[in-house]
Amino acid sequence: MKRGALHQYRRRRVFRILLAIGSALLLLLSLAARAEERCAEGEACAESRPLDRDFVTNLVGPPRGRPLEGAELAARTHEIALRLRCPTCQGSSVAESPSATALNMKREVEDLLRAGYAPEQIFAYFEAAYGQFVLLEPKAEGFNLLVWIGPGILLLLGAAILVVYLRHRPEDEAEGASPVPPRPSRTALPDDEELARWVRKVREVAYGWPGGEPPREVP
Amino acid sequence: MERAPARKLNKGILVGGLLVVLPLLVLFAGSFGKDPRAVRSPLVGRQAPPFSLRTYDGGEAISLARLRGKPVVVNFWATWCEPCKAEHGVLTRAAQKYEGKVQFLGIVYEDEVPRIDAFLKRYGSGYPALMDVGGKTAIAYGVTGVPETFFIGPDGTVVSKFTGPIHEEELEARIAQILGEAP
Repeated sequence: MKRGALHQYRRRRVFRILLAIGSALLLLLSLAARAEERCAEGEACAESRPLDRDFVTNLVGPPRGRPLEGAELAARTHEIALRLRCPTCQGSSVAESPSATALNMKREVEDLLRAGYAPEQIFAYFEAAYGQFVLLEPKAEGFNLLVWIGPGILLLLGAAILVVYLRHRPEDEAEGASPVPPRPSRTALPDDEELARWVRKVREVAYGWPGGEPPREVP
Repeated sequence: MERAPARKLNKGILVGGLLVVLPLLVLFAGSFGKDPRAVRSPLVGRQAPPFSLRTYDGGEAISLARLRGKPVVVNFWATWCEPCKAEHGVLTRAAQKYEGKVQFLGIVYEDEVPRIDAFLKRYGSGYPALMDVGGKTAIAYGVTGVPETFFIGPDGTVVSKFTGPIHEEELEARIAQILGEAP
């Protein structure tokens, strides 16, 4: 009994020591990871400067939204980044691009949302720097209207052409069956003698032309 | 031998087709030879976005606001950018020529200090090279690539922007503009 209690005490002690070593290792690993996240000496990396709120407010007015944090901030950042064009990429959004410029822009969106700027203000901020080029959805105004209403106009035009065509289609075509017998073909015979012989035979049977030769038209 | 009868030209279809195709042709023809990425900067005519950036070697911060009253040339560049090498000499010579009259500033775009150091030792340094950590200044200026050069008047207004490697005549003309000497 005494020996059993001693054994149990030793086991607990070993367990505590192992737990302490494990915790220390975890702590060290997390510190190392955090250090790695920071910039290497002299490297222009992700370490960000604070947002120049005065400059942003001068451009787009005071924040009209509420400051976001956590999961909502991440989700809204992604949503807005999807609608911004990466200026150094070929047709991809800021959310989709792994380029340094896109990452910086994404971080800027995050900073603006955290500061309480509304999405419209954020789009206006980027537009003030890059022009409408940066918006993946062009504004429905001026020449851009063509992009928005053009497909609709073309669709209507196509439908109108189809309606006009169907209305003016000759009846025989419309019904699929022809009450008037087809006009015999008077086109030239093929050069191939064998083929020409068969065409003559078909004409003779189909049109009743003797020898397959078309009768001379009376002027 | 008989000839197949010639098909009658449907004028309605022809006119309708031309109405659709011609405007598109005019639109495309007007865009030939133009760089679709060369968008006019919305910053031109507006106050230049302010910045206060440290030099790449950790020197003191240079603030654009403090340079008010003096024309400023801001060049975004990087060591990995080949055209930047081509224009570096042009800008360095101009910085020497206009010393005291025009302030030249280089803002390094997505680059690292050892590379910048090696580049400036090799090609020479004629004006401050500033670090834009986090790219906030490049975003505020709407930089879409390097090199890009902004010409800022003494009142802090962006007078013009040049995209690509700038050559001497162009640089001289634009400097004359911010100095108020343009014809």
